[in-house]
Amino acid sequence: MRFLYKLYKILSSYWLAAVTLFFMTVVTLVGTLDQVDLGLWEAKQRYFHSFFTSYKGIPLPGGLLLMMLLFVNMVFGGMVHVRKKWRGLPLLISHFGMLFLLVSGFVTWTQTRDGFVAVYAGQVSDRAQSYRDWQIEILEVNEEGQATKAHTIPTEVLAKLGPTDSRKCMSDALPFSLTIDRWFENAAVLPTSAPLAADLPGKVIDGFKVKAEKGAKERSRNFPACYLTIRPESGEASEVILWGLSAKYDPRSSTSAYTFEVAGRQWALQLVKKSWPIAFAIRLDRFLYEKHPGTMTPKNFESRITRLDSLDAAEGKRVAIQMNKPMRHDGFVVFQESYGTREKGPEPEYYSQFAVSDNPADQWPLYALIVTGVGLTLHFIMKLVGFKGAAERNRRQRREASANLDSASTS
Amino acid sequence: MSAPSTRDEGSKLLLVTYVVVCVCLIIGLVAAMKSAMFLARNARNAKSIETSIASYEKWPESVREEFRPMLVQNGGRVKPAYTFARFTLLQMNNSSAVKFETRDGEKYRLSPDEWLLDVLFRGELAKDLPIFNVDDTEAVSGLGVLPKEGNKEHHKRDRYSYNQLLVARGKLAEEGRRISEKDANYQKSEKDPQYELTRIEGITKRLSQNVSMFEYLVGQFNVARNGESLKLREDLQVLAENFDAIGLMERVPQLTESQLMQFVQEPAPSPDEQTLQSAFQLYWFFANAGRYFQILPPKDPMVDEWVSVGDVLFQGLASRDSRPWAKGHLELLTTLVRSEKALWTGGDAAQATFANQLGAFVGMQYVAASERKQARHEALSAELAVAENDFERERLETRQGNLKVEGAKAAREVGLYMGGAFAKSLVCFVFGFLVLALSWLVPGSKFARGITVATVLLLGLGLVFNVYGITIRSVIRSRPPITNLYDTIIFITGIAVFLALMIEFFTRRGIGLLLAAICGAGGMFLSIRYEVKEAVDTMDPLQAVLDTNLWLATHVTTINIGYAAGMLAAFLGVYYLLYRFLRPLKRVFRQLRTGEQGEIFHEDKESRDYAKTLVKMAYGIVCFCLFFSLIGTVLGGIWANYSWGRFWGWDPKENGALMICLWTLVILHMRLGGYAKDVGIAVLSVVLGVIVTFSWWGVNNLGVGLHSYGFTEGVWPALYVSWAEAGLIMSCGLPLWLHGQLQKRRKAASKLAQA
Repeated sequence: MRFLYKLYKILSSYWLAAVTLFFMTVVTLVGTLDQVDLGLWEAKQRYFHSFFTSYKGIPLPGGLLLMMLLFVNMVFGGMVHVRKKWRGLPLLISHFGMLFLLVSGFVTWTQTRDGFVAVYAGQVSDRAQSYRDWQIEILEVNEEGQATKAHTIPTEVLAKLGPTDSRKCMSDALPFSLTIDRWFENAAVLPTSAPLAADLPGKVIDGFKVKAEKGAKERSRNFPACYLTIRPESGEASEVILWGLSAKYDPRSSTSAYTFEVAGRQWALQLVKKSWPIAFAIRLDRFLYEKHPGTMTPKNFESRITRLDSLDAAEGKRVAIQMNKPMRHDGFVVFQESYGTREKGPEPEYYSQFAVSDNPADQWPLYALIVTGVGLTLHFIMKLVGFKGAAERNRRQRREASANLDSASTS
Repeated sequence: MSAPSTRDEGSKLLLVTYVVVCVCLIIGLVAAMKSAMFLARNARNAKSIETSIASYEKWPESVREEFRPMLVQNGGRVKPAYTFARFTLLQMNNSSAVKFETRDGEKYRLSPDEWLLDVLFRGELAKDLPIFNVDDTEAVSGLGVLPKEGNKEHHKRDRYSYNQLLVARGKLAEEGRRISEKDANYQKSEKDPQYELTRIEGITKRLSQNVSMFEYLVGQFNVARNGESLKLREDLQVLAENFDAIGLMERVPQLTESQLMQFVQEPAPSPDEQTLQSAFQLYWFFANAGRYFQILPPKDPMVDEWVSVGDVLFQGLASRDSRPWAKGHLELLTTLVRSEKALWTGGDAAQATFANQLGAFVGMQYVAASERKQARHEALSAELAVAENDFERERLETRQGNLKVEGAKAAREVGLYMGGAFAKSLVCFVFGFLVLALSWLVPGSKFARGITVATVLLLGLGLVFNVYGITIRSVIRSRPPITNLYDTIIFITGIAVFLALMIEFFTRRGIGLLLAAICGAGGMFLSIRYEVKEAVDTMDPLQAVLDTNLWLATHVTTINIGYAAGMLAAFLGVYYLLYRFLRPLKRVFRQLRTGEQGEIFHEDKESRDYAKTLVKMAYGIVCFCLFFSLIGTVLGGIWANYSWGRFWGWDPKENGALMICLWTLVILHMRLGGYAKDVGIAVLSVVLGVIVTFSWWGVNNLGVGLHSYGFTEGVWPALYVSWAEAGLIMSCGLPLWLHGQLQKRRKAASKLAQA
């Protein structure tokens, strides 16, 4: 019991609060500075989504550990330990608001799935794609050339592979096995005739080689590639190079899948970004992109869409999505994120890209802000009234003392 | 028996620490002064401002009055010519005034409007004005331009005229192209150091851009000049003297820009056609030269882009329908340019004629702007009438409601810049400080009390000018007070001064007045330096992500109030540390000289109370800072959740705001836990100031993250110097802390002795 009480005292102490907050400031600082070299994603993983980290060899607690400590400290110190008097009520409210904010952060971190939908005018989509996660899809193709069933080698498997690794993947449902021989997080696939490919080590498959590229600071810009060996249960093995995409993303261009035949059936392989269904379909009716006259500064992005219940639905609800004006529906939030084109010329056709998020804690920070704001306002008003009273008293005392001194010197 | 020896050792250590910190402070002060002198020496221009201009005749006031509100579309908005001239001049000249001396020994100081009038109407004279600021003479000497007389040393800043740079024009253009390519590679390669521009390359790039811009401006009205001041082929010069653009336009069928280019480049089949071709070569030349200054409303009211004289020439040639419109504009312009020639010889009547012509031109612009709004309104009404559904109707009504007359607030803008509200604010704060300093000579006297009233009035007036300027800027843009980094400086200055005056109101100790004067003068000076450094219009329109008055008014405003409070708390911390540290300076010198023993920090009750009040104020301001920073940060997260789809993304700017919240919480919890007493709070408040400057300026200089609209460059040296100075001031806390420890030990020893 004594140990538990001591532990409670430590966990609820101002000392722990001050130390945790101090290290959070330090970790935030170094995590910010290191974004210049590492990029945002890498810095986030290293400093803020970790239990322990280091900066230039100096060990530091990670953001995750610090936030957990802060949570515990706020629960014990700011809610349980605090004296329950009406004067302490505003602080109790503020601490509750901050706790709620931390909880909403945790829920967002663990439960949110962020992706994007990109469509040209007239196109419809009901799937969101991941920014960074890739997977290998093995498709069963029917006689009309349509995929009837998909098997995947998931992101979790691919994320563990490197340029020297090999991994065999098998399934009872497949009449062949796949061996990923080398996995490149970011790569370019070059024909052997290209000057850059001349001294490149590695296998040549169908006149192409894989050139490993430096990982982009913004990881969504990486295009992975791998060597893959297909081994049927009977018959000869074949080798293939799979590559994320040959150029910038364009929602109109379909990924060229590698097709082959095994056991009398047609199959296709493709390396694609992970995707998942959303609760509705988005049809882009019109994309407006205005610039301030005579400049390249964007003035307005606006996507006029029709929200459909399904891909085949003809009628739906018309909505305008703009910067700062997202669409919230059925647990999903759709934001105007960016736009793009692969066309050149004076009036290229743009596709519109929406960020799609299904965050259960979407509006929680707003509620937390209101609670904390009320608590802090009450607290500081009380403090200010106290300070004003004390200042008045001091001034009066000073005046009286000075008057006494004057009368003493006169007499 | 052990207490006295402990006290002696402790006192000795305290004395040594005090002396070491003193030495460090002196070294820091000398280093700061040295670096300031070094920067000032480098920043100083050569004293020689002589030009080859024989004599200079100033523009009549009536002409300038008509010219200032002339509308120009630039940087995405329609603005007065005065604003355009002011920022163009800042970009080229590093100052909004042109100073020069003519051969007859007269010295002149031209305002931006006078300079732009010279450039547009007296181009040959403008080419001799020293307006091209070159931060390092090495940038031009490498191209073959000789450093000016009296500035033979390298690495000095100087100003050159266009004609002085003309000898290196070709090389400069070539270098400019090479450097621009290198810079583009730097951006493309995610800042690969091999493509990073050197300092000289940066200066050369800017100079090359400025010279090109100047050439465009000088050539705007060439088409109406009858070939004056042009250096053309002989046959073209003859043609240019009698050039009739309107006649030529009407003589030919419709000809697009590319067709015209093809026609002037192909060899002419007959001598007759050769003359025509030469005429069109001139036409093409004039149209190209006049393509920068967008002062004419477009023919189609639904088009956003205004047009230049060059555009009018091309559009008139390309479409018969546009010719009456083009003809109207060209005639107006030709009359204007020709009446300017008579201005200098024709006396008052000619002056009045030119001013009237200019007034008519500007009047045409304002009428056209108003008609454009009306036409757009009607067009949208027509669309509304046939709108298919409520969705479309709502969108059209919103657009109709957002329609504005372009340049409607131009006169107010000219008034703001001509009035110099911010410069006046700076003057008031500086005088406020000087007057306050007078009161320190006779503290407690009636004179000092009178002086204090004067200080309050001066500082209040400075604040009024500041608030007036901010308000007018908000009204002109129809935006909340802060939309860019420049706005943050003037806003934070205003808030800091207001808070400092509030402190004075509550405490009446004179501290608030001192802080108000320092924050006001420092902030307004910084705003002027920043405007000169960036040299871009500070009222340019916002990019899409910032186009929300709700979030600008809430998140941006609250977070900047937090910055202001953080800076003020830091100043209070600095004041506390210096106040307590420097008071016993005389005593320490005496002790060192005579070897006498005694307390260093012997403080009477009044001093102790005063110091306590300082810490209380700092703590109160830290609380204020926490309130606004926390609310502002969470509001920022909510805005990010609306525009980028996530509440928190660990973006540098978000992290900067978070660090301020965290550090204020560190201070609060350390105080509550008793780990930080007065000295500790003062030191931590100074650290808060360091964090605020990092968040306010440092993260913008990192060049990463989603807040790219706030990025800036070249502030690290100033930040490093300020942080080093803050570190030195914080070191004053060490002897004060030692003194506190010593006092504690003495009390404990005395209690022990009593026991």
